[in-house]
Amino acid sequence: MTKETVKTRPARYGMVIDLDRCNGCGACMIACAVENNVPACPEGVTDRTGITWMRVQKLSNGQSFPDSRTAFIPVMCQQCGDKTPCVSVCPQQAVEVDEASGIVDQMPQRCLGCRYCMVACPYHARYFNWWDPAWPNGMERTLNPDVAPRMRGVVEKCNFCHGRYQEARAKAAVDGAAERAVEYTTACAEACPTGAITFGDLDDPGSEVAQLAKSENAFRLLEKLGTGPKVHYISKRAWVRAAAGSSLAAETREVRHG
Amino acid sequence: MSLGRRDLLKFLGGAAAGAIFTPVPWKLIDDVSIWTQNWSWLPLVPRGEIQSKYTTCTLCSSGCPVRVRCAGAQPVSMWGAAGHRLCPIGLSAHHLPYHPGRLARPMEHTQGGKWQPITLEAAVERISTGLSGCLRQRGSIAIVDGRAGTTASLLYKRFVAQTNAAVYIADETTARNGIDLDRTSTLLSLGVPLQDSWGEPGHVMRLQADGKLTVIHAEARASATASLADTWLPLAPGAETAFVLALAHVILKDGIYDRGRIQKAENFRSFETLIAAFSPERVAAATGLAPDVIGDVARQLAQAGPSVVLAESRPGVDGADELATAVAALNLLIGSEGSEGGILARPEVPVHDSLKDASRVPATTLAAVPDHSVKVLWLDDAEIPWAVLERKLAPEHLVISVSAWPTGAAAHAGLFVPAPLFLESVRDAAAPADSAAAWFRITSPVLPAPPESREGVDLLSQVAEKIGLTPTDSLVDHLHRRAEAIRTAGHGQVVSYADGTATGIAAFSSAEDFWNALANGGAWTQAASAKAPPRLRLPGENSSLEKTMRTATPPPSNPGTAAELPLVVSAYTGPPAASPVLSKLYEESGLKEPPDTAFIHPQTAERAGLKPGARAMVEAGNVKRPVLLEISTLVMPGTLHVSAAPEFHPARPKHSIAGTTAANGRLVRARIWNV
Repeated sequence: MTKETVKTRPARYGMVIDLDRCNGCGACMIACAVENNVPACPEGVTDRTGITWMRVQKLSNGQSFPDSRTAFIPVMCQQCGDKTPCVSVCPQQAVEVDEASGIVDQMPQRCLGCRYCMVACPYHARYFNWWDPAWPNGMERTLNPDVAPRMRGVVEKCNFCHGRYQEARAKAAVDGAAERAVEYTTACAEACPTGAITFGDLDDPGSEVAQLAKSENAFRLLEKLGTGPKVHYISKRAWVRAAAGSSLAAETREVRHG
Repeated sequence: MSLGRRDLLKFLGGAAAGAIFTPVPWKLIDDVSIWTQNWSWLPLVPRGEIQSKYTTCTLCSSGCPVRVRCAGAQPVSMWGAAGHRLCPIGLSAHHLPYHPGRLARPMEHTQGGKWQPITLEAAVERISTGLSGCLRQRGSIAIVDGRAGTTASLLYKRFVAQTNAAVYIADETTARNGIDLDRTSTLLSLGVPLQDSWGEPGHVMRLQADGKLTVIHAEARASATASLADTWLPLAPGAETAFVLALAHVILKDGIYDRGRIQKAENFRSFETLIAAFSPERVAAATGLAPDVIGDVARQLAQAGPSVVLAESRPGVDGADELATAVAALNLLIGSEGSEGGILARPEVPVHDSLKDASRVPATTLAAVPDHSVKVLWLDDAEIPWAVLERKLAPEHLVISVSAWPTGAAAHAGLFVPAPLFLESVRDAAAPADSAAAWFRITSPVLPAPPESREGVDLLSQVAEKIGLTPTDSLVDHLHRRAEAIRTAGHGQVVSYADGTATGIAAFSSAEDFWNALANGGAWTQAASAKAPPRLRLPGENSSLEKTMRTATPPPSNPGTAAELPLVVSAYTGPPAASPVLSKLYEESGLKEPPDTAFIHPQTAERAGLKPGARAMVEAGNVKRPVLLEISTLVMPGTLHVSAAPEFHPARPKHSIAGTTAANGRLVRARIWNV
């Protein structure tokens, strides 16, 4: 073993989404679908049968006009860090948390399509291929050459653009950079027109994502479940935080006070 | 030792039991599942050298710089370049050439109302016959240009100048003036979808988030723009003009305007008299806004400048002209006309000598065209509601649409000629609304265009030759000439899409160098400068604004069982079609309102006895459409809301309620009942 191959502390990739900047345009959804070859699906699919790795949901403050307000929240695999529910239920070991990146990986080659993971996922962020992947005639020519379409009968989900990660990793290796220094960004973060999505290494205290994740207005979805998501959200609007979870500070207080 | 049958059975039984504890059966199941999931017809990803090409998106007037990622020659993704980001439709624009709803062949409408393919030669012949029959009748040919301010627009004008029978219809407001948004402090929007489809994607939000821009949004619905605005004013539909005039009233009354300048404006005294009737107290009921709210907004506009007031443009809609006049007057009053951070006159993009005469041909508004006068209507990517256009048509008429999409007004055309799409053609982008600079940006072809597709102006030139008029060179030739005219003029700079660097125009020693810089991903731009308009003119008391007070009435708090409600059609300013993948994502997420869906406040539904979640019929003017009726607390009580959006599903009925009822104005009282 040479010095260059000494293992460094692994990265813990994560995301912070500023909901006060999200205008619900859906650019992240289509960027994700294009990057990861998510198929068009037959017409008439529902929110349960269609595949949308990243789905922007509408939030309402529940008030009536003129106090009604809308917010948007992009929801994808939250990349749980602790007690990852999908990992623990998969009978095929088709889901694993990559120690080098912290990314929850889904391996379609191993997946049997039992969908236990879909049941276990508290974020409804996993999708099943009910059909063969198909695009309108000719559109298959536009597929991303770096990502293989998944076959019918397997589950898929957001993997923080694993194809991009691997490419960046290979490039870092060629450049002689340490694995720790692998820098890349996801398609959704690259596409977001308002700059609402920040992606990076949560373990790098100097990174923008790590600093934003510590914001007093940051929160994670279903924090109480203790799944340790690596996707954080920010909103100054109290009703948004209340609708999607609660702030980390408030959550900590609740735990402390039992 | 002898082996009997019993031993054999015991061995087999033991082997079967033991196999369960080996990976063999499980691997077999796994492999069988994989084998049965992979078939030869499953798509394979394209192969080829990965390369980036830079071009300009011409799907809308924003003209965003684009990096096209290609595998070999095939585009596989689209990304913003030079610090710009793309909208969802732009991000998936490389899907559009394969959209099942795209028409790539000339078509004609049969008597039965169905499309029937014809050859391009037959289409040219039919157009020639139609045009030559009315060449001597002034105003009998109308060309509606959906991309005003481009080089193609000049070629249309050239045709108009040749014939005298034709009129050129386009909204050139944005081509002439732009908002100096990066330096604007306060923006009052009257229903403009700032966060949805207006301007460069994310521009307004980024300025807001950086604390540079305060947005006040007035709309009768808690839309995305309303929810993200710094202040949302739930303004009653139809009261926009009265509201704007009330703001002017407060500014005049408080004297918070540049007296030395404004009092010299033409009609100032008359305007004062007109405005006197629009006190906040008087318009409060019609607008649904408290007088002090109106006063606060007026003072904010006047004192927290540079400020701009922006209203959505609705060509042909009743009341739209009055609103535009009132908004222009208010912008004059708050000093936004011709000042930094306000509305600036765009520097002219130099024009080649061959088109200088054409550039002086004025554009006409649709309102100025007499009803039932147009015999040949030429639509080039024009997004005008059909009912507005239909009023202008003579009993015997021919409607020609040059577009890639048989949607909106194009669905009613007698003759449809396909136009090449973005990524298939060379054309220049129109000017963006959220910048006051002059721009010349061209898109380069990355994919081949369908053989029977034509740019509208190239088709018209072909027809002109056939009917004895002077044809013109191709659009591509004219773009080259214009680029050379710009280089020769020697102003401005070229911004490279690859690295965002700017190069002065003097650095380009030849026409070819300059063209290549643009064609390979670059934008020529020249900044606008603040310059007060030479002549200030305000509307007087005899203007059409006077009637505004009489027409502005508050929405009924109790509509009664007749369910006759003011119809609000939300604005949409983006491209007419989207990738099928995007359509699916929107449908699954429920992020965008589906077509043919009406929204009503639960209280209104209850009072009117309407059953939400069920089919209903909406009748507005002469249009009757089935809709799905949904309840929404985001909608103002006493109103009926229908969203306007691109035709995400061209396979569905082509003309949604959004397109047709907008024609009759936003204040049409629509009848709605369950069916």
